[in-house]
Amino acid sequence: MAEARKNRSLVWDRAKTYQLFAEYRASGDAEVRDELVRMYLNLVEYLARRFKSRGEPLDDLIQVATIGLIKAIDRFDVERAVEFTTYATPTIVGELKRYFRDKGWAIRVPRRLQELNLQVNKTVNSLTQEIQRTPTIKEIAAKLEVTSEEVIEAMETSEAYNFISLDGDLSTESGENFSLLEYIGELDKQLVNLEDRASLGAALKDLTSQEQKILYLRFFRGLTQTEIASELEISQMHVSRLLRRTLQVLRQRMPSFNE
Amino acid sequence: MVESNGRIYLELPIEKEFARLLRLLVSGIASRMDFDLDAVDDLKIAVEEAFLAAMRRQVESPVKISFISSPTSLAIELKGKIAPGARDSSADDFGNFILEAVVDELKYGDSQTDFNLHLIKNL
Repeated sequence: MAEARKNRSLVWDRAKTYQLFAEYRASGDAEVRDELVRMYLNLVEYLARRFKSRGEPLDDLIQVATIGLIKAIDRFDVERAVEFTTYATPTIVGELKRYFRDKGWAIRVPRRLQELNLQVNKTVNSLTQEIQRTPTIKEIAAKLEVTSEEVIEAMETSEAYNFISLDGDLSTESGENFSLLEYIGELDKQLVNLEDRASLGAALKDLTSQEQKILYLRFFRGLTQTEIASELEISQMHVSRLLRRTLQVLRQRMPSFNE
Repeated sequence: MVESNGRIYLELPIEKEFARLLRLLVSGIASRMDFDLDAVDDLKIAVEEAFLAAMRRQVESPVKISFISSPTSLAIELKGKIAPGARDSSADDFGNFILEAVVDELKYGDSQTDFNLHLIKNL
């Protein structure tokens, strides 16, 4: 027990680490590498635990993080004036993030499309800044040196992506607590069907405040998706994705919308 | 599917999963016409809503969809036969509210037996 607690304390024997790395580099002996892996399993577990609230079994995360550790061991240059843990931590975290990024796709999407999707996303943002208006698909395709059809395909695949925010920079919840219900009066001008209005109120409760805000800005204020993206400081494609999800939730919840 | 002089015609079974096909198709057409990304997304929402409107109206398969492009706009029309005995549920305020927000013109030319929805998005 005391030993286990000691292992969890994230303290490592530097001299032994150095000696094992020197041995491993000289011999390439798998057993030496295994010993290094065992020595740093507590780091793996510590880092994996930081991701356990994201809905994946801890054992799976430890397995993924261990792959990261092995990669770090294989790449670490013992001559570098840097602690192994300093070197290994970003590699292990990177492996965990990649795992979540890949797991984030609700259906199997080829990696080529996943990567193109990310590139399209970045290009939309940079082009919007550069040309000071919303780009066309042709312009995005030209910038990425792909066809318009590939861009369309990549954009559509984002619908299959359950976004998991790993760094909090694209959080689905903006800080403020927006509720479209407060604006429901505006609906009266648009909607006369009482049944619809009541169901809409109930359906809105299934949306996050950010989704309600996007719905409000797009359909009640008439802002474009790019304008909403800029206001909420998220990407246009993220707005597109949330808007689609929002409409799907409403369709499921509202009787007349779903007949 | 036939394409000539900016006209594309398509017949689809009236089943939900074909809405995605329509989204892809309208993206391709709109992209060729140089609609910007916001307008392309609006059109994707529009065709999906229009398709669902046809489903709600109990249009029989296949629904006929036409895309007519001009230098200034894209017109989309959905036509079909309404199933005998289908109840009139065209008063879908929220669906129409969404449609109105994403296109420039929206017109129903429904009768008791025919479904006809006409949408125009200006460039």
